[in-house]
Amino acid sequence: MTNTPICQACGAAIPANGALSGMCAPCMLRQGMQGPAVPAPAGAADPNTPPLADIRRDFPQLEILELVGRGGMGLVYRARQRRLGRDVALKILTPDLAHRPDFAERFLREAQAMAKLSHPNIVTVHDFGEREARYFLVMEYVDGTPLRKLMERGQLDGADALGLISQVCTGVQYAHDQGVVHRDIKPENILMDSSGGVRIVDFGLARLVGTEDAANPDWRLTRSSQVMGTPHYMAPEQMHAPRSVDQRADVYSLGVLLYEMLMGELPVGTFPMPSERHPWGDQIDEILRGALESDPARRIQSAGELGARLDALSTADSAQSAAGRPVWSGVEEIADRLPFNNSSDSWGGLAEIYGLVTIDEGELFLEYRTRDCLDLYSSAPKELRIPLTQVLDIEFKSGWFGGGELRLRGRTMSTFMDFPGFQPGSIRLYFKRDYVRSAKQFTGELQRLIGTRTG
Amino acid sequence: MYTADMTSPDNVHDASHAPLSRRGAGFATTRWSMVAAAGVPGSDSDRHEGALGALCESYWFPIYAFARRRGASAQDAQDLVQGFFTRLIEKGDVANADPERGRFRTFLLACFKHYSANERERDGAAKRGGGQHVFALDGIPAEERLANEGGGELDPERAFERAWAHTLLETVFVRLRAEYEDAGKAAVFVELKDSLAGDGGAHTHGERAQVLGTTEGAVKVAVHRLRQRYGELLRREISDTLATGEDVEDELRRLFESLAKKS
Repeated sequence: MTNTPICQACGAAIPANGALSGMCAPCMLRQGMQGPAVPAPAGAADPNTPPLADIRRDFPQLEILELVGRGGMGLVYRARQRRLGRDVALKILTPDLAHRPDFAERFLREAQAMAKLSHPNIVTVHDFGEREARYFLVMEYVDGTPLRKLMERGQLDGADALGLISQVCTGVQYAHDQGVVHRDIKPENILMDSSGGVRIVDFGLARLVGTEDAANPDWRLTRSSQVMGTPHYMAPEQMHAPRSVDQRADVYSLGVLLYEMLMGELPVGTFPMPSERHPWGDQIDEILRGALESDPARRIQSAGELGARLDALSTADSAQSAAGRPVWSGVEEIADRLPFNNSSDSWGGLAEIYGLVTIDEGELFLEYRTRDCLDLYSSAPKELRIPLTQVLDIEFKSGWFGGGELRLRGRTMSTFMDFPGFQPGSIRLYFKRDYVRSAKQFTGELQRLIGTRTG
Repeated sequence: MYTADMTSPDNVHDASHAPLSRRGAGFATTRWSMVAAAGVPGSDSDRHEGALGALCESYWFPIYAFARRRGASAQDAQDLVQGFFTRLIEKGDVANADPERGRFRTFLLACFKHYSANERERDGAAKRGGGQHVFALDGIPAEERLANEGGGELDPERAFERAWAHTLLETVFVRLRAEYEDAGKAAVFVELKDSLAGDGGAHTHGERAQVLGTTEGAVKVAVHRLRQRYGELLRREISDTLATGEDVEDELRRLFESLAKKS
């Protein structure tokens, strides 16, 4: 055997050449397997966020009030136009995006198209440009709540959903008539203002910051990047034939949105139709099928048509029974039980712990097994019971892939002591995406029982 | 609050979620499930041929490793593998060997076994037909890669899995590096890439901060970002090779086990 360098951590051979030279493959995979990210150290300055002073200096005609949002596309500040005396939102696009050679030209084109849209259901773009290598948009400031929040809080019922989507359709149809396709319709991009009106945000922005040219070698990269839009709401053709995308892609997204609002979940896999769960009749089913059709040619062809069909329903009986019925019910979840799945850094980083945490008779009950990746056997189940009086608090934190973690803190340093991966007084339980809602409920339930106010 | 929720993690794409599919409509978001749903490659649409070709271009090396570990000489392995991919992409009849179309990894191996079993009975003459637009296999780099992996005594199936894991990591690593280079952060990547292989390392955050001319705090954040992005790309790449309904974490674990096991 030749003298290949060995990894200090795990003993595997490290290649001396090739793309991965100097990198230990098993260690890389193990690193990749780390579940939800170790949180960024508190207080560390984010090198990618410009200091507020810089923004104020670059935009003297605006009174920059505060950073209000941060997304894949950039940062949003609330500001005030001094001369006009009105509040605006200043959106500064991520500098990374601007590195593509044709960006400036596309920005101009898309921003002009956005600025032309003037409609009560669409957030207006007042101005746009580039300053100090930062591309920006100045938009109407809307004091409203994203649909996502309303859905999570369970504040919408069936009739609300129909009415809301119908309003959104009106706005979307108007934009389509002006030649602008949104491409990224999702509950985060729709706001409800204080008078119950619906405002759509970020029209056409997805096209600006993404690239749809499938022949472009960057395309595979962009598919992985956040700015391409949320896959759940994207029409099939947006994924595999992006150049053929037209306004019908927005119709699809509206369908997904409508489904989610009525059923409380996304139309994934084999999904049930509303009539199977609610006494609403088949008409909504038909409309949904029409909107969620994979083939654009067979889909409902316009947002206007979708809206009209929903309006027609609103006057029919199905809407009467839909009214007043909460839709975000989360049927099969049990608030006091949660499966979790941890990878442990003890035992050389090759073990995995999975189990169930339950609230049981005034105790927190953890039941778990470890699985050693080297030998693939599961150990006998272990148990840990902690009286609720010993639990100080519980915190829920979303993870990067839609899963998350629960952080449990005990009253003393030795609470939870026998649980693997324990740090003095606290443990973390990681869980997968499917259990997010359960985890939130679990957190709420435990907080209620230990008397903590929900945060 | 105006767009405050744009940052919520629910907004982040979940690379590990199962690809979407529709009852009877065969819509899929990952590359492999797209190809698998299309039926015989090349028959339905050119776009799927492109996708299959791209997948093969990424993952030919594990097949080569398998062929070599089974006893073929470097030259024979190269011919066989080249012939296989040509046939798979252009004609697609080899694909019928695996009607189940599970994940791409198992599909590819099953098809290759089938193909090479038939090839043994035939003379080499029919091996290559056309193959103009199939990517060329580089024999010498392939042999070097094989040597790099170590594990010379592994049985062929295990060699295949290990090579697959290595190829996956390489693909993701190169992609991640390209992202940083595109953003003008090549130096950051070079300096911090070791953090992708765990916490231990020759250099501390402080030392790296000095090299990069920045603060230790900034380095910590940068490391965190890098690892986060790496994890995302890794899962997305894996997910692209899985069929509808398969779990990324399972595949990740499985590949880890194939690397962790000593032969």
